[in-house]
Amino acid sequence: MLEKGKINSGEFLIMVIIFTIGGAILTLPSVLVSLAKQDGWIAYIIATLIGLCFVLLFTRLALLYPSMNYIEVNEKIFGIWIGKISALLFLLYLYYLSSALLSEIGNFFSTQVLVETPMEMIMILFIITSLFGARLGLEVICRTALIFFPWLVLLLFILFVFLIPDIKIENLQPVFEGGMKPIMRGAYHSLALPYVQLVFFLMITPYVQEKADMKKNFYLGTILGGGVLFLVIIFCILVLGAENTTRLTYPSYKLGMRIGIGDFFERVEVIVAFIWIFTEYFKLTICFYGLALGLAQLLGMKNYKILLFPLAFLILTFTIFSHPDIVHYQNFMATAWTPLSLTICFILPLLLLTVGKIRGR
Amino acid sequence: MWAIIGTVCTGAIISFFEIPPLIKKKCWKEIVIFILLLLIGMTLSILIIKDITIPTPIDWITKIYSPLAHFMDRILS
Repeated sequence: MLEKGKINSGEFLIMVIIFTIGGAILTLPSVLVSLAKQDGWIAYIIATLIGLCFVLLFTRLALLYPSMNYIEVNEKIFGIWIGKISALLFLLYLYYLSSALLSEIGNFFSTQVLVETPMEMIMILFIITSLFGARLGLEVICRTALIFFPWLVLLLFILFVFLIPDIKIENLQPVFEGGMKPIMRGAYHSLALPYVQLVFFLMITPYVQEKADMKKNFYLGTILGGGVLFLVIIFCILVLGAENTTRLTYPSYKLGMRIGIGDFFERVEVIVAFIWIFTEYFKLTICFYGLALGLAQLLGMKNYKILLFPLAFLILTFTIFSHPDIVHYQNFMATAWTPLSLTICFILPLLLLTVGKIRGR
Repeated sequence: MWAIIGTVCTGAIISFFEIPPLIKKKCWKEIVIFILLLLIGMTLSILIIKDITIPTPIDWITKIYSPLAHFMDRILS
């Protein structure tokens, strides 16, 4: 066993919530609303329902071999060679996911907050912080998340409550303007952003102590995280309107700018932006940790911590050269990203579960 | 130039702190993997610093998935 830490199911719940929110909160509203217009919230509800089916699959797989993580289960069920290839695909996906998170935070900071700082510097600082977290292990990451969670709740509360005066209900009308097709299209594209990525938790389910609670909390965390995202999307539509949301890259940041109570409580967007800094940080750290742990298990190494520094180098360089510009990134997100995520995070685990059930009989 | 020296120095410092404990424990496999990954990472960073365009794997993935992506787009629009 490479990881000796144990976490309890409450910490697992919080990690699921943060993982669902992280990353998606910045870019999802814009993508979803550009596809489904003012019906984006309906599309998101459909996506959440499908996402719960994914969670059903993942919990089944987690409980098939409760003491093994995804990499070990792959080798156990598919045999050494096919298992290693399938696990390697998953790790490459994780590698891309980490670099995408890093580039998201870099783009966000260099276009909105620290405009004159070079993007590479922000990314280096972020990955070094992440590296410290990953080096300290799973327990430390999860308990730090536990400490920051009340702040997250408070900031979300501030964001939503102070925006209530700005709501214009007319922005939601007309409902079902374009029929069912745009809604389905929006739902299809939002599957890949938060929900199918939850397959990552198969890497850490073996280290959760209470297995029965783990299953329940997996569903609960998905619903709560999805609920927060739902609120963000519907507030974007209600406050900014569908057209504005489509045009902006970071509509949820714009929501923070809209907060104004009297003439004194204004321009709190950077405080509100802590929501996505926290969530992106924890998502990146846990992905980075999972990547190092998985690679160490795949190669049969004795210690995963040794891999963290080289992997930080690799993630950083991949972030810079994988997408030459933001148009390339958005183009990839709009076309190949959803089918790619569904192949690696849905079809492979489904295959794994089927083969595992047949072999287990 | 300074950026390249900085990169190499970073790699050297990391190896200086990480490798001696591994030699003491005789983990030869770990050392090989560590050095290999670090060298790949450093080569890529030096290429980026020198402004050499690296072909991105993302383009290949887009090409592989483009029939499927077009198919889904046609169904849903």
